[in-house]
Amino acid sequence: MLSRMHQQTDSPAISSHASIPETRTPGPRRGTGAALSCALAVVLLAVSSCTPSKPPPPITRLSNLDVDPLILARVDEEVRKAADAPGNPKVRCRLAYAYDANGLEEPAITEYRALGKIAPNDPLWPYRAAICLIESGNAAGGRAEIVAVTERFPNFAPAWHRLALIHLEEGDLAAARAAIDRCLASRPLSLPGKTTLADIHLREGDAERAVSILEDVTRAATDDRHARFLLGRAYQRTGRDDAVVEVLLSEGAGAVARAVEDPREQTMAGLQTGLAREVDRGIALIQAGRAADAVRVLEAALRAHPNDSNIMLNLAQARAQAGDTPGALSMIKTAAETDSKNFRVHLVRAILELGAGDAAMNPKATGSLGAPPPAASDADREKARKHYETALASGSRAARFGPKEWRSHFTYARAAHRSGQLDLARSALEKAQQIVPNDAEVNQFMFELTWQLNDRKAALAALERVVAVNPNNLVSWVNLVHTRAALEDFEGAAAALERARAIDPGHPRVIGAAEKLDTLRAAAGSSQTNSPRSP
Amino acid sequence: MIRIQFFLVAMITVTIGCTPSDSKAPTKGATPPESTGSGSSSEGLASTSPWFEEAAAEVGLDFQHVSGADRSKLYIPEIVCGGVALLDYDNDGDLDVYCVQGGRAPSPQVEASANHLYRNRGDGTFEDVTQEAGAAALGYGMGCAANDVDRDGDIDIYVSNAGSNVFLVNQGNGTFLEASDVLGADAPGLTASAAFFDYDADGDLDLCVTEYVGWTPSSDLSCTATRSGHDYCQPNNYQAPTADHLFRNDGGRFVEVTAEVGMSNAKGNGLGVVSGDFDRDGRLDLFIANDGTHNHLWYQTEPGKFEERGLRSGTAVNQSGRVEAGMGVAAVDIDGDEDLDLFLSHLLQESNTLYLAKDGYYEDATDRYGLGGSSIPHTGFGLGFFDFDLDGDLDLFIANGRVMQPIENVPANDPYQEENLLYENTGSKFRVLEPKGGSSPPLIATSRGAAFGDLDGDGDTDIVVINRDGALSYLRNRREQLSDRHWVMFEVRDGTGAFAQHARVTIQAGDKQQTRVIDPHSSYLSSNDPRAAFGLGEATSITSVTVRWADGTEEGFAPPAIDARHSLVRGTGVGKPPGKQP
Repeated sequence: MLSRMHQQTDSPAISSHASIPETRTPGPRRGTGAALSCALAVVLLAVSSCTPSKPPPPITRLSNLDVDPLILARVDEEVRKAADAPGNPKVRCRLAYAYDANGLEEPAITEYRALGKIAPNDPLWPYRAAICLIESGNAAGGRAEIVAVTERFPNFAPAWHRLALIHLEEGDLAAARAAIDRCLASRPLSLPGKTTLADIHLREGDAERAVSILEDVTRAATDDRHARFLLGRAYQRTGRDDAVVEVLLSEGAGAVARAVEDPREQTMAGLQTGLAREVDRGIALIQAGRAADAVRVLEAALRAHPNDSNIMLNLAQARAQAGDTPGALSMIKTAAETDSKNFRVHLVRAILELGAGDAAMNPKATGSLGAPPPAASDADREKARKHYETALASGSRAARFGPKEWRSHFTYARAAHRSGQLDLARSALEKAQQIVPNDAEVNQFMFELTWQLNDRKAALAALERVVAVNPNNLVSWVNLVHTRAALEDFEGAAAALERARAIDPGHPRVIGAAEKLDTLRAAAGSSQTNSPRSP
Repeated sequence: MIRIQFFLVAMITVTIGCTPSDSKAPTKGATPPESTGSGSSSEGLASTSPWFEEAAAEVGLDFQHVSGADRSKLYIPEIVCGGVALLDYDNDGDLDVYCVQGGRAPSPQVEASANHLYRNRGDGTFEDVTQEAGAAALGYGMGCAANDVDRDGDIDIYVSNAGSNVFLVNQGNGTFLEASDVLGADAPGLTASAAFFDYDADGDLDLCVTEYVGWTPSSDLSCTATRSGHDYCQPNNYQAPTADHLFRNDGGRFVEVTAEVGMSNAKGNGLGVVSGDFDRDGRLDLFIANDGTHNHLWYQTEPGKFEERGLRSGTAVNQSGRVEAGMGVAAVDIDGDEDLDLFLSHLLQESNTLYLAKDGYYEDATDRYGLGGSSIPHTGFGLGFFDFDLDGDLDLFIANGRVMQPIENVPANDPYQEENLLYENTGSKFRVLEPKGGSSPPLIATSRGAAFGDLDGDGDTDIVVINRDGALSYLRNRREQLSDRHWVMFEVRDGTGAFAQHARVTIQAGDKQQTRVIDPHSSYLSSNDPRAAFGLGEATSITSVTVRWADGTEEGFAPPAIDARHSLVRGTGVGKPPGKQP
């Protein structure tokens, strides 16, 4: 799809003049002097006094009210501003962008057409209308209009770039090459333009040239995932097959080609809204550690969509990250009541309740999976017990409604463990293990739990899986020394000790394990010697 | 306790060497040829003559698909369901038709959800034998896979549902027994296509079943398209990609080994599936077409262990790096270099994609083969490569139908309908034939599953298409247009008498060498004619026939007569082909 390529921006190589419409009507030539200006003014005055000035095209209002309230609010704001200044292209432009950015192509096209009447020599308006036409599903109509823009505004690089991409989709490499050449003639430094040129080379089978261009592009634009993907492909075609190629391909897959843009198009991103967009923003803010900002964004979204459990889910997590534990627990409780069969809601609730329980037991608790809860006052214990109880119930629901999701069972196991129900914890953890048999976290917990349950063999099996997945984890190798030694497998314990030594021979845990192993070996030897049944 | 009776069916086919077994006269041979302008070469194909005729009503294939869609509440299975299998369930030498019905997503256990089995009477007409055959398999049906699962000489059926799946065991007496409890292989989510294959090379068929999204009726979402209002959600709206399922056949019971073999390590929105030895290491691999997530190419890197190599192989995303909406899939050797290429059908505004195997990776060769631009305005589902004009190369049919309503020019009767497409292989490219889809009037519907086979026994390939909330389409190949072209067809069976899955049949006729792989499981939610069908053009004889069995050994067979069906049974050939070693 060509959709939404405008969301990413071209580095404005020649942005100083690119914002000026490229085929603007030329002004009066130097030397014609003030006389001409005055004459022109007189003529204009005469004309304006005789002919009533043409009113600006009417404002496009949204007739379909069945749209996201967040979008509706954004559009309404721009409609109000445009109604106050219907002849102002800047204001009308924002309204058109508000429609366009939010997928409302029909009114966007109408507004762009209106702008085309207000500023007929600006290529951006017919170009954007063409893009909207494509977005709305009329690919043929949009393509024809893009072609018309290139004919009327032959120096307008965005249209040539778009045309090149269309030709690429159609498989017409020669036409794509011709179009990208025109684009690069107008903007020779454009990175998206160069990327498309490299794409064409790659499709033509000239991987070496593609590599040369793409290495330059990715050095200049390290975040251009599409260019990185193409570079990975180009490397592959030149016979390279290593971890770098894999990283380039996996990071870049799914990214769309950046568009050569008119710098004014960058305004559009700021006007985009809607439920999905705001939730994504909230999640991105949480991930960036900006929990307070995430709370603000998600609370606004929740006001527009008061029954949306997905917003509640993310808002609860944002509040928890912001330190508002009561707010987080209250929000996730509401989410669980709103969407009672959604395992994610119960899963997050269980996790939050577990965290609250641990915090009640000990504000400094590290949350170690198998560690016994630290000492606390009776009141704290009671508070924690209630949290763990809720976590257990939520974990149970998460496992019921999300039976294929290992985290549901894992969290249920954690809650059961905290509640002292070790057999239940083991049973839940075994279900998680069935789904992800080689997951280090699950197996580590299984090791700790079965050790606690005195099932050394199961503990050993789990730990062996952990070291298979994480062969450089010193602590796991040390644990393996202890576990094998406990099962009197001294050779195995010694082998594990060697692995631990290879990682860090001077680590206190390694030294301690070596001493313990020696002691146990000696004790076993002595006990064997003293055994009445020994020969 | 259900007791299953597996009847051993006596091998009655005369199978010594390569014996013609075609006792049926073509059923349409008497029809006078119309003036089509078709010549004897592919260049002579008239661009507007219909190659197929709609004959479902005429022959009694009266299946009417019901998705259960109700505009007040839309469920995602409704927009992607509808599979079909072509199988000879009664072992009488002709193809019968099994149609998978939808129903109503939340409450499918009603009569409206009964699947339908149509028996081929042998004269080109069909009768509905669902009830007497016990083949209704109630449940909200998605698709099916037909194969001789228990190796008793008759074809069984596995039905994938939105909910628990159903195993129909053929009892050898014209009836089926629902034996899901005994055979296992249930995957109670929203499963889609299924494919039998013997991944562990132990002589019995294992099963792969794709799962679309983690869905239950209660978890269904309500989606509003910004442009067209209330409509079906896209799979990624659910944010619930799942692992697909692999079941190992352990002595007749199918045990889930998805995690054990490593296939739980990648999740996607699985729809289409095809198996084959994609890396040519002698072990069978799997390819899963995912809708809106990376496709998965599961290489069996060591016996019983699969690794996902979609991205590195170049098949996870298209050449632009874009994730596409994979629906149907086929694995065929398009360029004649003996490896399996992959072709996927996709969503509107994406092209369908041809991944050509090349030196250890796959190259997106869609445009080079002329398969790009023509598919962009369509949403493709069922598909098949077959030689409809008997000129010795593989052509292509794609069943299309939208998943989202258009914004403008919404058809009053069915907002999702689209025209189907028939492509002719011109040697170096494919080109769309007119009338679209090869029939006149063209088939315009919300088409989903499509299966390919010679239903009327005249040697050419016909097409059956399931149309969502519409009548089944039976596109009968108009044989009379091909009177000067020859054909040959083979039933390829292993030592047990079952179809020899993944055997490769290669023939030489005139200056043309052609190969077919025995594998009915491709397209979308569907099973095809398991026989190997070859068009011979004007060649009047075949000079060699070689079968490479799934274990890599090769066996030559005496050149058979043309314009006939034959059996190729392992161990009955004339020995190893000259110069070939196992």
